[in-house]
Amino acid sequence: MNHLLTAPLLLATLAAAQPPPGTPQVKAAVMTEAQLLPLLTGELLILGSEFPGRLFQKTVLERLKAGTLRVRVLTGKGSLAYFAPVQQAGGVVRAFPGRITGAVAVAGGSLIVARGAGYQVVSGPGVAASVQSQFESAWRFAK
Amino acid sequence: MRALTALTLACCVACAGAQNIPGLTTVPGLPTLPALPGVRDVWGGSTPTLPTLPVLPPMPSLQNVDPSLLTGTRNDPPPTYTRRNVFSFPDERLGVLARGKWPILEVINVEQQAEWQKNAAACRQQQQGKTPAGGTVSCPQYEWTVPLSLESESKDAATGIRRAWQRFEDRYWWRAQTNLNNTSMVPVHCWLGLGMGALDTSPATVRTTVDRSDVPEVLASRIPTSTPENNLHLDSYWPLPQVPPGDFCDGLHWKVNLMYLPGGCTYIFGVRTFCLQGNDTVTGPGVAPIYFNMGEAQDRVFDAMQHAATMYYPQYQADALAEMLPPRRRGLFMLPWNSHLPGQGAMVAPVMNQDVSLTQFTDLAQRAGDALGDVYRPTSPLYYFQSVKRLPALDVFSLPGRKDLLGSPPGVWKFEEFKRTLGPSNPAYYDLFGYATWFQTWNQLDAAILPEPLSARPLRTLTFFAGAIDHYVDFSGVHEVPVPTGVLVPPYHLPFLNYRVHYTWTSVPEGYDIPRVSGTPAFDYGPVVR
Repeated sequence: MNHLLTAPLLLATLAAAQPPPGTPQVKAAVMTEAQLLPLLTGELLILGSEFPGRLFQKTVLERLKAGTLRVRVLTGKGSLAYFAPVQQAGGVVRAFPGRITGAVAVAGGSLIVARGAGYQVVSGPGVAASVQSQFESAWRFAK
Repeated sequence: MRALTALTLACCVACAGAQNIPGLTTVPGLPTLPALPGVRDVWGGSTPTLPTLPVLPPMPSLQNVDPSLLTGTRNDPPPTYTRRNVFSFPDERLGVLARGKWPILEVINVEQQAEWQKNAAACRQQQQGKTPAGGTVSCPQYEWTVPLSLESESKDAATGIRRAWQRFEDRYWWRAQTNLNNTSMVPVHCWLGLGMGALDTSPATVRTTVDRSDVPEVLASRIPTSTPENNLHLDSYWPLPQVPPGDFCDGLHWKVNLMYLPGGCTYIFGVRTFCLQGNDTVTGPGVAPIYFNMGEAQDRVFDAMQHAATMYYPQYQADALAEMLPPRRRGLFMLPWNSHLPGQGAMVAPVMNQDVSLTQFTDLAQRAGDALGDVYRPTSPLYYFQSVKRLPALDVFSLPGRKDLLGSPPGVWKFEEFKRTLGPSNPAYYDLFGYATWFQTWNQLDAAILPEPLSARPLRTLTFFAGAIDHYVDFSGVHEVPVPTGVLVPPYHLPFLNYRVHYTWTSVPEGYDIPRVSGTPAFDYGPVVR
C-alpha cells in the first residue's frame, strides 16, 4: 500500500520541480574543489566571513598575482585578517559596517556556495547578477 | 441679571503674571464672561426644587451610650490649623434656586479678613467715603461670591479636559510618525486622509479625592486618602490617526529623498545562504537595510517634536481652558483662584446635583464612628444629623477637659475632617451637613514617556517603515520577494515634559481650608448673581 502511494507521489514531486518548458533553466551542480578552478576567470567576488578550500585559496592567490584574476572581498571587520593574503596579492578587501551571515562567491557567471566537503555551484539567467547587485550595493557602504 | 455688563477675566490673568508655562509664547487668556444664564435655561426648562430631608435613619438613643464615654476622659486637642481660604453658606440665598437663580457660596481669604478686621472701624468709615481720623488704612477685599455650578457640567468639563489631552497626544504622535515616514505617509494620511475619524473619549467619572496633605497628620491613617485618576491618555490606541488630518499635517511637505537601501537574504533551493543587513534595530520579518539615513530620520522626529511643542501644546492649553468656560460650559462657573497658571492655585467651582439620597451621609456616620472609635462611635450619627435634631448627647464635646471644639475651625474637628470623604450632593444637603464639593482644575508639571499605558507602547514606537528584498533561487530562476521591515528610531517613544491640566472633585467642610487654591480669587461673581 505504502509503495503504491509513494511512487506516484515521487513522480508528481519531480514533475512539479521541473521548470515549465521554454523558460531558461537554472542549473545546479555539486562540484569538487578541482572542478571549481576553471570558473576562476575574470572577476571573483567573495561575500562573507571566510571561504574554505586550500586548493581554491592557493589558486586564487596565484592567479591574482599573475594578473589573470581580479578579486573583491566584502567581509566583516573581524575577518579582515583572514583575507589579508588576498589584499597582499593585489585583491580589494573591504569591511562591511553591517552584518553578513553566510558566505558565497561569484565567479565565471556562477554562484558558488561551500557545502560540507564540496561546493554547490548554481548558474543560470540572473543568478550571478542577483548576487552581484546585492554585493555592489553593500560595497558602497564598506570601507 | 442678564442686563449686567459682561465681565472680563483676561486682565486678572494678565496681572497674575509671574510664572509662565514653558512653550507658550502667549498664555491663553480667559475670555469675556457673559451674564449668568438662568437656572431654567440650563436645567432643561424645569425649575428645580430644593429637597427636604426624608425620613431620618434610626438614631442610637442616649441609653446606648456608655456613661463613662460621655464624661470624657480623653483630651483631643486639635492640630494647629492654619486656615487660609475657606467658604461659608449665606443662608438667605438657598431658596433662590426655586426661583430660577443660582445659589451661592461666599469664599473668604482668612488673612485678608484679619487685616480688614484689625482696621474695621476705619475701614467702615472708608467704605462710606470718609477719611478715618488716623489716615487711610489698608482694607483689602476678603470675601468673594461664587455660584454653585452643575455637577453634570463639571463632568463634561473633565471629559473635555481629557479630550484636549487626547487630541494633543494623538497629534504629537502622528506628526512625528508621519514626518518620519514622510514619503509614504503624507500621501496616505494627509492627502487621502486615512484615519479613524474622531476621538472616542469616554465620560469622566465624578469621584472626590482626599489628598494626604488635606487632612491633619494625626488623622491621615484613618481617613482614606486618594489621588486624582485623570487617565490622561487615549481611551484606545489604533494604528490609524483618531484626529483629523489637518491636526497633524499642517505645513508638512512631501519629501522623496533616499532614506535607505534594502538589505535581504538569499535562499538557494530553499536554504538561506547569506544575508546582508545593517546594524539598526528592526522589527518585522525583513532584515535591517544595508544603509539607513538615521541622521535624517532623527531630524524628522525632532522637527515634529519641536512643532508639537510650539504649535500643538499652546493649542492644548487653550482647548483645555475652553472646556471650562462659556460658551462651551453654560452651567459651570469657574473661579480662578488665583489663576490657571502653574504654581498659582487652581480654577475651582462648587458643584451641586439633585441627588436626595441620604445613603452617603449615613455611610459617613458609620465610617467616621468606626474609624474614630471611643466616644465618637455612638455620637457620630448624632453629630452629622444634628441639623435635623440637636441631641444633648453632643454636649460631651464641650465638657470641661475636652478640647475637641477649641482652637479649630467650626465643629468637632475630627468629625468635620471626615466630611472630605463625601461626594457631591444637592445645595440643601450641603447647607444641612455643612460641606460642599468643589470641582478643581490646575496645571501640574508632568514628565512622561508617551504613551503612558505600557500596553500601548508597541503601537507607538517610532518606526521607519522600510523594506528588505529577499532573493529566492530555484530551478525556475531568481525571484525577488520584498518583505517589510521597520527600523526603530531613537528616542523610540515620545517624551513629554511640561504642564498638564489635571482635575478632581474635592469635598471641603464649611470653614475648613480649601485645598490647592492660593492667594485671592481673580474674580468676583457677586455683581452678576445678586
